Amino acid sequence: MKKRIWIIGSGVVALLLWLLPEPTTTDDNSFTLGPVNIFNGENVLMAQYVSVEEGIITHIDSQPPRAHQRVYSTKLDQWLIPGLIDSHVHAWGKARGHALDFGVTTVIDLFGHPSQLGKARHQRRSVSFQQEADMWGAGRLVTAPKGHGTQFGFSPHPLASDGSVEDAVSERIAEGSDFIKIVYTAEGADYPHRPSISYQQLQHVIHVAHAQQMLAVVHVADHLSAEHAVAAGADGLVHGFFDKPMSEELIDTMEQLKVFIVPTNIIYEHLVHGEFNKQVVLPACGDCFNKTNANNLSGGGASMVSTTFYNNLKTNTRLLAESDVDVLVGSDAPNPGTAHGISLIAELMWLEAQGINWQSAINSATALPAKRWRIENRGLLLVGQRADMVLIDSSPERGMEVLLNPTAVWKNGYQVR
Amino acid sequence: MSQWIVEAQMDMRALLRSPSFYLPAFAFPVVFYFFFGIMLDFSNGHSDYLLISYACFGIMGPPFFHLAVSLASERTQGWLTLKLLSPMQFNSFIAAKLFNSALFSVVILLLLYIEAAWLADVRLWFWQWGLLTLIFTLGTLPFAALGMLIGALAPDRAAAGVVNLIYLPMALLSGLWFPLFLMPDWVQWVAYGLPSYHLVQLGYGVIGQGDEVSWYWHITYLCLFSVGMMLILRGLSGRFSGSNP
Repeated sequence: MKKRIWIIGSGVVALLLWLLPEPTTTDDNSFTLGPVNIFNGENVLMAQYVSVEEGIITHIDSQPPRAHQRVYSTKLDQWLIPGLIDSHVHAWGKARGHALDFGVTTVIDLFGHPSQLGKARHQRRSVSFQQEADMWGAGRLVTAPKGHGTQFGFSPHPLASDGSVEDAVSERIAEGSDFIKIVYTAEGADYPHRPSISYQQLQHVIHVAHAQQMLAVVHVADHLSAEHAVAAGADGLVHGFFDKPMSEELIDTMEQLKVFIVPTNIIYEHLVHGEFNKQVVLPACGDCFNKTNANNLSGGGASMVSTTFYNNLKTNTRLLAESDVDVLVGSDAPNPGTAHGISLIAELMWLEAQGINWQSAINSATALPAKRWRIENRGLLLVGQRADMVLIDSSPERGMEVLLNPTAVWKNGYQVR
Repeated sequence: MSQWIVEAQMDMRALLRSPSFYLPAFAFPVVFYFFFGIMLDFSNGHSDYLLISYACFGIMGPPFFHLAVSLASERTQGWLTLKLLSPMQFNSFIAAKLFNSALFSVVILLLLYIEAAWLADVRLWFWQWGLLTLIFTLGTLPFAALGMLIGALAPDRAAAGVVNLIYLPMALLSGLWFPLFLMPDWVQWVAYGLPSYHLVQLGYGVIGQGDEVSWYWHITYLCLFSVGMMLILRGLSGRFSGSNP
């Protein structure tokens, strides 16, 4: 009697658990795709077939492999490009899932809670099925007491004295930061919006980060601060600026010192003009984006409307394109006027609108950021690389807006969209 | 029939006659999860993560309240003394209450699972549903131990209030209602000392969202906490026998 009750009770619980729904089984992450046009992140390839084995690209050729594999059939006009890399986001909640909707398979988080870093590291090592973009992150900021970043609720590392520089860097490393992000505004800058660390402290943090083999990138928002950050040895600037056109001297120095820049044009355009999302991105998007989020993109903005600033922004985009400075595409989502995923495509459409070659633009969102952020096995379609890929219906040369509605997105070789 | 089973049957009968016990125990986690894990976009769609949070919150209730309130009541009113004068062993009395608390917790878990699967499209593998059930069922033990301690110390009329004073802040400070990173840094340090934090981390681990600490450290902490509580209770055994009410 006693035994029977136990058995029936356990059986009922097991049955209920068994009846609960399981995840939809997806296709495995081994297949061959083609024939398709391929831009591998750097070049257009003559090859037309890509084979993937357990999430890794194993074969790129003009002929399909002989091995028997599931075939993903494509159309003649379709193009395959690497999964995109957004070089400036702040990712929490569903952000990395939204990124994937638009073919963004990797994001660079430039200020987030360090508790996310360990999980992200664990996740990106795996080639298992996942519905999120991979993430590399800076974790907490290095900034001044009450400086930019301290207003967001969880504490960055405010530098009060030179003596705390080593601590700032070693704490970031201990917390799992992949790079050190520093906030800096030069004394005498046009809009010193908050207290900033000094130039000497900036130099010191960069020096200590480099001694620890860490990339040191700097948040700047004006020309003078950018000059200082470059002179101090920064590896990259994670914002552009619009207070004045970039000087030849600054561009030359950035070229010589190999300093990259993530201009975050769309958020600035939203600030000084506020029309690009409304007039270009959303009409091209159609129903690619839900209405509530679309309102976030089109609403507000234009709080610093200025023809001079707007022209400076366009000029700087062109000057950078004409230079040898490495320009990485980043959205700064989800700040005003931006959203995860779609705003990276908006950045690419902005580059296109300023006359920048499509291959160069996509390179800035694939192979180049992978190289500059020291991310291995991403951003390129090559044998041995992670099968993070985006299939689109036409050549990006005919318009970047095709990226707003990718035909298919693969993450770790699994088709996720 | 074993003593504890008879005691468990009697105890269950008493519990089922007390809707004021089981209705809130079932309703709170289910309703909270509905609002915060499903209805409000506050959750950012992390319904699976919040299912674990509210499952942990839910299973803490029955052992806390049942052990604390009934123990305090039976101790203060002399029923426990009377029972201990009978051939029934004290261990059987406790085992019955632990078993019934765990049983209530399983029902709460199943209600939450069905709600999550039906209304929030949460999809987990069978082994994940099963492992969560195992973790959270066994996870009632530290809270039962803490409940017993409250039951040993608090007068019967104050026991429920004392439980609420511990239960609700513990849930909040363990990050069961809001992610810990939205709270001040000192809260995280407090969380490390709470059994609910370690239990929920084991749950998050099942869906691949646990913290960096290895699962065996969380289990070690939960075991040490339970043993520690038991040792304290052992020192207070006089209060159960009626010699020191």
